[in-house]
Amino acid sequence: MKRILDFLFERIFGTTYNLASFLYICLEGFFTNFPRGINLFINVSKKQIYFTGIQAIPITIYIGIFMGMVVVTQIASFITGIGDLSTITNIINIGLVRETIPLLMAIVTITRSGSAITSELNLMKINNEFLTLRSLGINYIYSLIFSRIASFIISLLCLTIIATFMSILSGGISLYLFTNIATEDFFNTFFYRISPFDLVLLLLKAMFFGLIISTICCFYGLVIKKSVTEIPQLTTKAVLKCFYYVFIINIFLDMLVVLWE
Amino acid sequence: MGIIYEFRDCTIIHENEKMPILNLTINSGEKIGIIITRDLYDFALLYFLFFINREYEGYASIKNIEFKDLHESEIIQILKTQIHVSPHLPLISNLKLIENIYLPLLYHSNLSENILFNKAYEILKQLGIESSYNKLPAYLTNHEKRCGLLARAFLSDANLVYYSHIIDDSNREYRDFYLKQIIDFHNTNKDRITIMTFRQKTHIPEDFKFDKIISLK
Repeated sequence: MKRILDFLFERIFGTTYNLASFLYICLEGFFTNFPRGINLFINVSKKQIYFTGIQAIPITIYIGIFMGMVVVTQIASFITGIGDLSTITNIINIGLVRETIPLLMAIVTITRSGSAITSELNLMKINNEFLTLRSLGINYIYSLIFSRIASFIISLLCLTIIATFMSILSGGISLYLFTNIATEDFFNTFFYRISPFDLVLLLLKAMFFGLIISTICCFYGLVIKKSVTEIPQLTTKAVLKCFYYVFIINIFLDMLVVLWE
Repeated sequence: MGIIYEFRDCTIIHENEKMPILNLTINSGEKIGIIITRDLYDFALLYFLFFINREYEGYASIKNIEFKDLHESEIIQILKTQIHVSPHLPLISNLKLIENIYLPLLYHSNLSENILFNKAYEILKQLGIESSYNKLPAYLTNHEKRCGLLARAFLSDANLVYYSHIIDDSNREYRDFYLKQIIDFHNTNKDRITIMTFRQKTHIPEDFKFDKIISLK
């Protein structure tokens, strides 16, 4: 019985404990080294923001526009007039801003950048590149890993804001096209009904998703031993763990919101 | 000339394998030649001198402080003053050649990236590979990679440079080129220590006057 409990505890909390310890090491590395090596930290961060954030802007805009259109197209058949606007804005607010957009952006960044980070770090480790950095007196946990985590959070935050903005914009335009409700009326009602709390929740979700995705991907990028064949296995594992944790965090935050409200 | 490194009956243990006993003192300004027949020993010595592996028996010290007693902050300070030119510790694959060259200084100094870029570019020009400055290591020839490692060492202006088998696998033309660069760099600072490893005694250049030549077999 004890073995079964240990096994279950290990399965449920083992990874969480490892990830928390890893994040602690990263933070400790940052605070003990800062401001030494800040130039390298900024250099790596800029590159990560470029790959994770800037290069993902087109797909983010695309997702934002189509999500706004899809939601409005689905509910257009129920619309009878301007009196339903508050219902529409509620659906867009809860369905899109609170739930779908942060989750979709998390999925996009996991598949686009998270997997890339894991495989890139794995390859660097196999090629002894971390030992090179160590031998040059460079703390790679701080300059290479923590910089990636920080810039990943910033990127996901910005991408989520862009996607949300685009989905609201396309929602308003689609509503006008399908139901003849003036776009101006939609925006007036939407911005009247949306609360700062919704926006804070959106940003909180993006921030936590960014933190957990980058931590998991960096962690699995460093656990490789010697063989190249481990790279696809670890990358898949990292991606699946990211999905697992993102959904758990999402449910957890939603539950907090329900309790709060 | 003070003693910088001292190894007395020192046996480096690398991946559970013991290296031959090392007895060597390294003074500032010296040129040391080491004949190492097995790559594993070269790995082991390199990793030991750069504190990647600290497992050993016997006595090993730097400036009279035993390796065992060195704190992490002291190690970082030492690593700032020494550098390696070795294929065992390669260029960073996701950084361009020129970024690889100024990487240590970007971390340790407060100089701006633009200044470091210009300095690194000048060294690349001196080595004749400035046209490849923007390439990733995967797109470089072996000669360019070696020059990149040399350029990184030259830019860092380190007190100790460890050249690992740099001329062993080179043709005559490149061999002479590397040697000239190494001698010129060594002579720019009278306190600089140069350590070069070779696979065979016959590979040791006659015109390069080593202060000590030892063998690890």
